[in-house]
Amino acid sequence: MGGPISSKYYLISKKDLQRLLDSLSKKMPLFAPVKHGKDFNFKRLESGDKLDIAGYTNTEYPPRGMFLPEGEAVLEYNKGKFSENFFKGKAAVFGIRPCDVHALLVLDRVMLGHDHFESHYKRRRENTLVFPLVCGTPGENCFCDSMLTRNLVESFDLLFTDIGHHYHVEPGSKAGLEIIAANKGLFQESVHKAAIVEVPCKKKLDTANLPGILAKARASGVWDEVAKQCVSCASCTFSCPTCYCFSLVHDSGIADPEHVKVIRELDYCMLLRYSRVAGGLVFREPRKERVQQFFYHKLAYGPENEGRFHCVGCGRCITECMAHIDITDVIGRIRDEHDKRK
Amino acid sequence: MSMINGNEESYRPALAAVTSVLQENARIRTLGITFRLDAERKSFSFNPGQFVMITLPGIGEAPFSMCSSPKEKGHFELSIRNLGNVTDGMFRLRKGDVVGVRGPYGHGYPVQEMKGRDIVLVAGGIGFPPLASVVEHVIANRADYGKVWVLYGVKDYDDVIYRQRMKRWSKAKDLEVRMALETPCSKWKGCVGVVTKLFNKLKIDAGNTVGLSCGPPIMLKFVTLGFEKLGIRDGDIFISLERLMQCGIGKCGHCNIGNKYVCTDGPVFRYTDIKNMAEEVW
Amino acid sequence: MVAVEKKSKPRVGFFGMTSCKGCYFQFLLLGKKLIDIFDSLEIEHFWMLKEDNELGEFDIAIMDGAVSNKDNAEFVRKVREKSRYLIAYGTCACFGGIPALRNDVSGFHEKVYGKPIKLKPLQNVDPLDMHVKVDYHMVGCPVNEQELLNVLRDLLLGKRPGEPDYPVCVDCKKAGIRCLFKDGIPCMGPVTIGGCGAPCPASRSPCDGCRGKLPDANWGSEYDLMLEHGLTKDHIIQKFAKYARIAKPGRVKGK
Repeated sequence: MGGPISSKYYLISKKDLQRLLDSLSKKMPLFAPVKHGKDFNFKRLESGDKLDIAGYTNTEYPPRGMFLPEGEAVLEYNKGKFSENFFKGKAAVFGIRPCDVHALLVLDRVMLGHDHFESHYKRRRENTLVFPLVCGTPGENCFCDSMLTRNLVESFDLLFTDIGHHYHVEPGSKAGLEIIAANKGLFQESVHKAAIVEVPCKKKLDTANLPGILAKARASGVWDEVAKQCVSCASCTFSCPTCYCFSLVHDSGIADPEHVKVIRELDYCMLLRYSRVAGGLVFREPRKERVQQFFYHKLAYGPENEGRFHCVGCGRCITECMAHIDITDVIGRIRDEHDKRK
Repeated sequence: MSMINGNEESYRPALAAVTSVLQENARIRTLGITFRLDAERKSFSFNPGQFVMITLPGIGEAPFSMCSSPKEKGHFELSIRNLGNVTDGMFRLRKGDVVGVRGPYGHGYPVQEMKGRDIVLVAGGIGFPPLASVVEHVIANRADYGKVWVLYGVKDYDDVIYRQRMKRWSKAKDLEVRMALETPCSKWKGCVGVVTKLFNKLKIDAGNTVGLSCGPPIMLKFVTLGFEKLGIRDGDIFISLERLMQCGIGKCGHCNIGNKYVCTDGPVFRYTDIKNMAEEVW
Repeated sequence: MVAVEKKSKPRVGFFGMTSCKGCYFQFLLLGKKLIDIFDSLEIEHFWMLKEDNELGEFDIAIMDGAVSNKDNAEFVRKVREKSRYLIAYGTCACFGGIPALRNDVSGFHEKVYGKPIKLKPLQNVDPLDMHVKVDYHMVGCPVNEQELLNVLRDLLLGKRPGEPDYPVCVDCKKAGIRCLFKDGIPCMGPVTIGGCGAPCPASRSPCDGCRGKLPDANWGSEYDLMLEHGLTKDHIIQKFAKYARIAKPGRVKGK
């Protein structure tokens, strides 16, 4: 991670990129988009596994899993003692899109800011190399243009752009430069910055004054309409790269119930259980309030607390919602209502 | 205020032992808890209104506000009603049993800002513990504070807690304790009704008074209106809120109300900071 | 509430009413994990495993099957009296299940048997809830045996186990399964109680709702989605009635 660190650029052929990934995967767990059926998802690439990203726009599920893995045992209790278990060593992720790197920047503000930091996320984030891959043609539901998450000037180790036979490589950190130095034979120097045709996104979300508009829109009938469609399946919160809410669950086996692992599991504000306290009271019961919570957190509370929108325009919530709820459409309707009232 | 576990280990609790058990009534107990390690005993301190996360391994964790005087080093008291798995488990604890403790977390009542002023504390039911901690602190530093009224509302006679404490508090100078019972009972000769009924006989210097409250959401709403009617400024009203809490450090998301987190921005909130989202609060 | 004493092994009884006994078998499919169970618990009553079965006192009673006749009803009450904690085991015990489909057909016994029979059937096939207090509803047709392990472990720790109250969609996402709706296959996942690990969607077979209806379900929206994906109104009503026992779905006003 770091800022613009070098004025030099590099090129690497697609064959040599494979060699680079093979070499890296021998030293640390390396994750890359892997196709399974119709979808790509980040999976571990073992040495010798061929990188095949033909047809890759973005992964079905976010790369959150490398930084906030589902079901991580963060704490252990055995024979009267507690011990906190941390991720050891290093890891790397190749092919993550700029919008998803922006999502990591949002998570950084949440997990590493505000007086406390979350020690497990911190350990993984500090020890994972990030090799993003710039987008040419966006997916059907992308709107990164609107959320200003299309470009990256910082927070990567090596930034890759597909320019045909080669990838253009821009180093972004000391670690990135070290990798180039250690694999000199694979890289050629280049004086040009990467230049590709950026096809604009089809969907748009106007963010001007959005937190203020949302603050006044709590009673809008648009939320009732959305709540009528929503089945509270939590697919949106699951597929969102900036959703991070979690529960700490005590787990043990029946053979030794007092040897306990405390598991950090993702939780979803769309579900009733999310706000249920002992005794059964659910603080956020009506579906409309839970629907509002998702939109408001991404577009109002998020900017108020972390200084930037939590939504990065990846479009996954639109792709995953079986009830056809589209965030760009919902916000469009809220804005129309607001403009009519003026 | 200093924390037991630093930032490098977000979730590891310190070990502490139960040193006293007091049965307040059939459903509520007060446990005294002391840290095992000397270093932790010396470094733990809290403000009234803050909370700790108590771990019962295998069962889970839950937040509890301290109800004792902050001046006791390395030792604190919690009052528990058995309502769910963790509180059921805590009800089975005996002297010597060990629990995990994380914290203290959150913002407590602004005891520094309150110096030199009169205080009205309104507690509803199991909302009493954090306010009890404020009273203990005031009594230990009596000269620093003005007149104090402790108003306690409870549903049934059998739900009453802190009977011995309230007797002890009544002996302090310029400190009145008044109770309101919702359900009439032959054993109770005092005020019958909701706790706001006790406001009727209250004569205060509104400009120099702070209003503190803690209790069920609906009670908080009416008590806040009552404070406003008495002339207490919105900036001098402090409310302790409750939500589901898991991490205690503002990361897991569960305790959010609007753009605030009860565990880090609260649990004690200044009314002016939450007035604009009142509908989500109560 | 403490279900079990910590010192001695809890006494457990398995019982079955009107059912296919699939849930009964599911327990046996635990295989090697059964050793852990036998080490921690005393199985005092299990018709399929033991010859000598005495109806003594139980810490935990696990009752599979629905109540369809007077003998069932009496037996269930007897077991409840002798048990500290009762688990309704499987969708039949929790909701009536497949046997309860005969509630929708009048004159069922005459149609099948041609004349009245000795079984003393009740007017309706009932879930256990309608006859005795149930402490835990373990849904599923069949149950997820891992859930049974977790519930028994909770009881050993003195914990009240919590019933899953989220849709099957959560299980699918956790297992990394591609949503069937994306492939045009209508699925009962959003309206069905989760906690099964979504084995049916994992095999690209839509959820059939065997774990019963989720209280938070949006039936109206699910109905619309199924129509959109090509099911007829009758087919949707059949699906909703099978396990969820929803009589008249239609377009329900969303909450």
